[in-house]
Amino acid sequence: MLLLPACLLFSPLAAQDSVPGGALTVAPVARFHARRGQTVDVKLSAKVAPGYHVNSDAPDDPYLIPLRLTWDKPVLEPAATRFPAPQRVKVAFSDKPVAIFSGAFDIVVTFRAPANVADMGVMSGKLRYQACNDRECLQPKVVPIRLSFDATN
Amino acid sequence: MPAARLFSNLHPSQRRAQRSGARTLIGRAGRAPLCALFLVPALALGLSACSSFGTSVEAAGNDLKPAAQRKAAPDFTLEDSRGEKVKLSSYRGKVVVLDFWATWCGPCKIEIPWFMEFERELKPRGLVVLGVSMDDNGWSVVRPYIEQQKINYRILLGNDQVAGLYGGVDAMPTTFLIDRSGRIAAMHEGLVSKDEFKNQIVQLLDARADLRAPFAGVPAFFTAGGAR
Repeated sequence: MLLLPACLLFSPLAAQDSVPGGALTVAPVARFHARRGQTVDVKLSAKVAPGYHVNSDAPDDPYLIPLRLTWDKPVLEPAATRFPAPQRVKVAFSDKPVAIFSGAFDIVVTFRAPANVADMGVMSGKLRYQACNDRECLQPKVVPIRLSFDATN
Repeated sequence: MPAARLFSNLHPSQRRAQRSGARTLIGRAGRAPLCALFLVPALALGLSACSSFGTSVEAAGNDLKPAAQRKAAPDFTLEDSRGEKVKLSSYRGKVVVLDFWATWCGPCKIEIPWFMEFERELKPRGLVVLGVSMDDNGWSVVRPYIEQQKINYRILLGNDQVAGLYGGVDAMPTTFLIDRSGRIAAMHEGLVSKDEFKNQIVQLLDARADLRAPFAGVPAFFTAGGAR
């Protein structure tokens, strides 16, 4: 009889995401084609949940967590990553406007295909973001990115 | 709303407040996200530049959970910015504001000056403010921020285990008001108004402690040397 309340009292409560599916999602990318020795642009279409925003890739305030795209053991060389121009908004907690993304936006990644790249492959990456709304901020999260490609000369 | 589970048997008015406050605001912000961002300064100044926003904040209410229905605050020990171990249960007999925050959390930064003011004004009456930082980078970012902001209350470095005891704390700020008997009297997920915090804190300071109430996981402790 005494054990049940004690268990309830001490059992940690499981964490749940405040926004089911995450505050930022990235649409699946169709298989793309790369030519060996040349570059190819790949567009990632991101969407921020209504009411939320994420910090841009360069949020100005050093304490804010930027949007970051990284690749794990890339078989194609990531040559450049282009984020859109952020929205700059004035907020109460910062002297400077804060650079954010909200709604839908695209990130364009330029890959260079090495001369010896295999005929097909997969690029795995992570898009790390930190989202807030007007009342609260969510813990930083990561969206896994997976890109499949074919390569020819 | 993970932390809300810890507070699942809320007073009916507080349950209404949580529904209409926290969730409704997110929904409204969804229809006008940028408008909502601009309204953060208005909220901080206690203005209601947008009537729906002001109404939602008011709807959060000033009710504390009735004493008989409060649950014991889970106990923990964490290190503060000076390297001292701090045990929550050592503050038994005090009213504790337990604020989960991070240096990267904008709304948290709006509340920090309020907590500094409460610490200054209400400490003699028995208030203790404890900020639990959830920064992944630890003291390397938190200590400079404490110094830069001249934070006058105790900051502890949190971890997932302690956050788990309080429902996971996925969203910040998440603030718990703990009565003199070590029980959770209110939980606020997200930014609420300064007046609401102050009203609730003063109510708790004015109430007498029930020293028979157990602290979660530990024998009854009374305010000891750990309390600043």
